[in-house]
Parts: sequence; structure tokens; C-alpha cells
Amino acid sequence: MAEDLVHRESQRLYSIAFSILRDTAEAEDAVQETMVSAMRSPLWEQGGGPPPAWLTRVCVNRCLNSRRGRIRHLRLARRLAAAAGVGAAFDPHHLDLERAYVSLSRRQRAALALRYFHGYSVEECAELMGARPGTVRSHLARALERLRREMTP
Amino acid sequence: MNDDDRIITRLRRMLAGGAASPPGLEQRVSERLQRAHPLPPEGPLSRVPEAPVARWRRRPRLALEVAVGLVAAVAVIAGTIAVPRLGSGPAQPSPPPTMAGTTPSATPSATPVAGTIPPVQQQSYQPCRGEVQPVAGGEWLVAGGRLLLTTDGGTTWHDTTPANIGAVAAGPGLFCALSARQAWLVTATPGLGHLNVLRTSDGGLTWSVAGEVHYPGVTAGGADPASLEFVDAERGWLMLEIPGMAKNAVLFATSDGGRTWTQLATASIYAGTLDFVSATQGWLAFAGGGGPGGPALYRSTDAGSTWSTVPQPFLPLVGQDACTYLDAFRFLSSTVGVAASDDVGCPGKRLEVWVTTDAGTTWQEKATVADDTTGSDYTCGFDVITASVWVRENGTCAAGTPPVFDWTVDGGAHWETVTPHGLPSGVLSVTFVSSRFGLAVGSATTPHLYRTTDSGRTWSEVGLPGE
Repeated sequence: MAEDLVHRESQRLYSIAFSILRDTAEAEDAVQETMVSAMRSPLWEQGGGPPPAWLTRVCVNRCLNSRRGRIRHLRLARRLAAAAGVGAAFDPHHLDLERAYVSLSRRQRAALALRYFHGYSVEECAELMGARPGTVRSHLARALERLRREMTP
Repeated sequence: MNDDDRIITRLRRMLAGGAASPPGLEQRVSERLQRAHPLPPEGPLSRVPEAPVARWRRRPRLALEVAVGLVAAVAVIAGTIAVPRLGSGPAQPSPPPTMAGTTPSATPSATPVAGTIPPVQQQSYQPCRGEVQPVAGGEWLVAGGRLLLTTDGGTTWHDTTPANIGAVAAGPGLFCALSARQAWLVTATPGLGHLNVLRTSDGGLTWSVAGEVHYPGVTAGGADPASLEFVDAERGWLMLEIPGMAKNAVLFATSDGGRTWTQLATASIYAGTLDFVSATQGWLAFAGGGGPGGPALYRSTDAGSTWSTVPQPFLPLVGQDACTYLDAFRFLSSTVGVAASDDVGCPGKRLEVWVTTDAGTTWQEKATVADDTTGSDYTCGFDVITASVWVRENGTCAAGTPPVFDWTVDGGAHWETVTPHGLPSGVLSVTFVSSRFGLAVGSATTPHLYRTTDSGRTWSEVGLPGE
């Protein structure tokens, strides 16, 4: 069952984690920690393991609350502040947006990524982030406002 | 198409560009699952006072190992001599900061000091945070799912991972060591519905469940340990971070070594850096950076029962939290504290180091270091050895080239830059235990450990148990 779950969910969870964290090592850590949580969950013994929604919520929670990740995120922000330091994971055509994106708070990034890239509704984003829908809307509005401001020449 | 639509379209393209998982991800996840084997069918660990099971014994050392250890000990003795943790013994004298003048210093390396950094031991031990935790008599390391201990300056390491818990998670609020013998470990097992607090009193030879912490959702992603602190063998605090709460911290306290935990009425604070300097006086610094609210510094003088906001100059106004990171916040005694804050991602920002000698009533800015505009000079870490001996980990931060280290032994008046040899790029964290002795962790998932005994000039990889 473990191999099936890993095969079925790793890529999807990594995509979610990386869209929030923008750091390959931290995203992979989040996926691994999510899978470890799944294995230790009572849901593990039920056929097929925890459902995708459970895994997604745990993964998002890992992304939002990893303190080590916060430090690395801030380091990444510094790295991105220097165009020369950008690694291969980042498209140089979106460098200005990438720089502005990582300067957002992690919850703002999670709201943007879950809503506009992964296609969750505001209510679903709220459920995944452990927040109220109004809070998610506020994160979205502030994040877009900040991106607009940061990217205005 | 308005501005928001254009940004969202670009955002989708940008996020799509990095969505593919790296090669070998599934294999590494599978390997991680194999290491983090689930609990055995008999259930949770035995509770105190049932007989614990020995996990490891220090093996007899060969003469060569002893000789190497002695040489290493001589090399680092001044930097690694243990002093008691605050609150665990006689108070250490707290010399006032020796900064020259009141004018913030020039940037690092502008005025090198004598060229050698004198051996200076830590004035007190750091709060329980970070992968490396220096304590009286040794250093603990949480890396790669294992808990390791060295008592010879990092030359040899012992695997002290408790049996039956699988992997040891890294992160704040999960491990706290008081000495090379006394330590606590918080573990979460979803089926149990509560956190277990494990305790060792023999340097990890044996572990047993000291007590349990109950909070709704605590093992189902509804709450995460954020900070764990002990000031002596009996008194400690555990802070949980509750996702989605406006003030997102819930604090528990124990006065019997972790056997029983009492929830304190503190749902009015943010989960941040907890730093208790005695059994009654504690600090809580929250710098924002992803949390639900703005930065704040709190102080408690009644063992964490109540907290009050303390004015301070090193955290910005509410609303600017995305720019600021608190690189260091430590009280070295009940009155002397050092804070280093760093504005990130905001143009024209800088590292500032502030010192208080009157228990936080007033703060003096002692050093200002401007991040340069070339992208090669950013603060990646900041260690406080004493009130006037600090080191700044400086560079491109876990990317490209290894960092360099800017040392000051006079509270920021002068700095000396040390360029490392033998330290690879991509180092996750560097911890200086003294002005000479430091450890660097090279990877979160497959840890490589590096050690220096000359202030970071030369580094050598240290073999870990099982390698």
C-alpha cells in the first residue's frame, strides 16, 4: 500500500508544496513528512490509506508551519533578490514575479497557489489552510495588491 | 484584462514552471517511510516508572580514538567548556557589553581585528531551538530522523534515538536538552490523540514516557509544537501553534519534569521564539514572517501565566512582517539580552543588532550591517556567544557558494571575516557553540555533518553512526 500511495500522491503533493514554498528541498521534506504522517495515521489501516483531501491538508499544514522552512524561505528571498543567484528551478522570464511572490507571507502564497493554480474554491482553501473563508479572501486581496505594487515599475 | 487578471495569468505560468517533481522523489519518499517505521502493534511506549529499555551503550573506545579525542579536546577546550544552563545552577556573572562608543559600526571586514579570534565560551546555553543544541557536557543533533549526541566536541556521535518512535522529527518544540544527560523529546502519534513527552536522564541510554499533552487536533494537523523549553529538571514549557487562530499559541507548563502539563490561559499570544531565563521570567518574540499577525515581543514574570507586550525597536510595525526575520533573540542572563533582526526582501534593508542590559526596558543599537546590492552578502544566520561576541553567517544562504563568517568580539565595533575551507555549498544550518567550535548540517534528509575548531576557517566532515 505504501508504494501505491507514494506513487499516486508524491507528484501531486510536491506540486502543492513547491508552489507554496518555492524551495525544492523544503517541498520534498513536506512531502516526506506528509507521507510519514499518513503512515502513522489510523486511516492507514483503512483500504488505500488516507484520502487525497486528508493528505493535501496535512501537506499544506506542513508548508505553513515548518519553522525551518520559514528560515529557508527568507534565505531564498535573499537569493532571489540577486538575479545572478537564481537556480534552474526558476524561469528567468518570471524573475520579477518570483521575487515578489517569495516576499509574500507563507499564508498569502498558499492562498494564491491553492486558489489560482491548483483550482480550489475559497471555501476549500479555507479548509486546507485551517482558516475562515473571509481570511482567505483577505490573504488573496492583500497578496494581489502587494504583487501589483511590487511589480509596478 | 485588468491588472489582477494579468498577474494571476503570469502567476499560473510561473507556478506551472516549477511544478514537476525532482528525479527520484518517489524513491526517496519510500526510503523515508521505511526509516520511519510505524509503531509496533503493542501500542504506545511504556510509562514511567516501568523499566525502560536500553537503546545504546557507549562502546569501549580504542586507544586511538581516545588519543584523537584528547587532541580535539585540547584544541577546543576553551571553546567548549561547559557552563550550567540558566536556572540550573549558580548564576553566571554577566559582564556588560563592551561595545566601543555608541555609534553603529562599519560593515564587517571594514576594520579587521587582530586576525585571530580569541577562545570565548558561551556565556549561557541557547534556548532549545535549531538542529544543534549545545548543552553542558556535549552537543545534541537532530538530523535525518535521528537524535545524536556527542560528548567529545563533535568527534564521535552516539545514536540516542528512542526505540519504537520511528524517525525523530526536526523542528522547534520537539526536543530540548538541559545537559548531556537530561533531555526531553515530544512525539506525536495520530492514533493516540495526544503528544507524548519522552524523557532521558542518562544521555539517551534509556527513554521513557514522562507525560502526555492533550489538546484537540494535536496529532491530526490541528496543532503543532512550536517551542519547548526547560530551565531545570522540573520546570518546562511547551508551546503549540494552532493553525488558523488569530493569536495562534497555546502554552503548557510543567513543574514536575514533564509528568503533568497544565494549559496556561494564554490564547492571546503568537507562537514565536520562547526564551525562559528563570523559572518565572520568560520572553516570547514573534517576528511575523508568515504568521497570522504582526511582530511582537512579550514578557512574562509569572512563569508564563500572563504575558505583556514590551516596546522594542528591532521588530517593525505591524503590516511589515513579510520583510523581517529575527536572526537571533537571546537573553544571556535575567538582564542582558541580544536581538538581531534582519529585513529581507525589502529594498535598502539591513541587519541590526540590539542589546539590552536592563531586562528589556531599553535597547541600544550596537551594530548595523547593510546588505549589499550584489546578491552575495546577506545574513543567513547569527549566533550569540556572549553579549559582545557574535558571528554572522554571511553569503548567498544555502545556495551557490558556502557562507563566510563575520566575527566580532567587541560588540560590533570591529569585525573579522573568516572564509571557510572544506565546507560545501548548500549547508542548511551552522551553529557556533563557542568562538572556535562550530557544527554545520549539510542536508535535511541525508545529513552530512561538518565540524570546525578554528572559528570556521577549516571544516572537516564528521562520520555519523551507521555510515
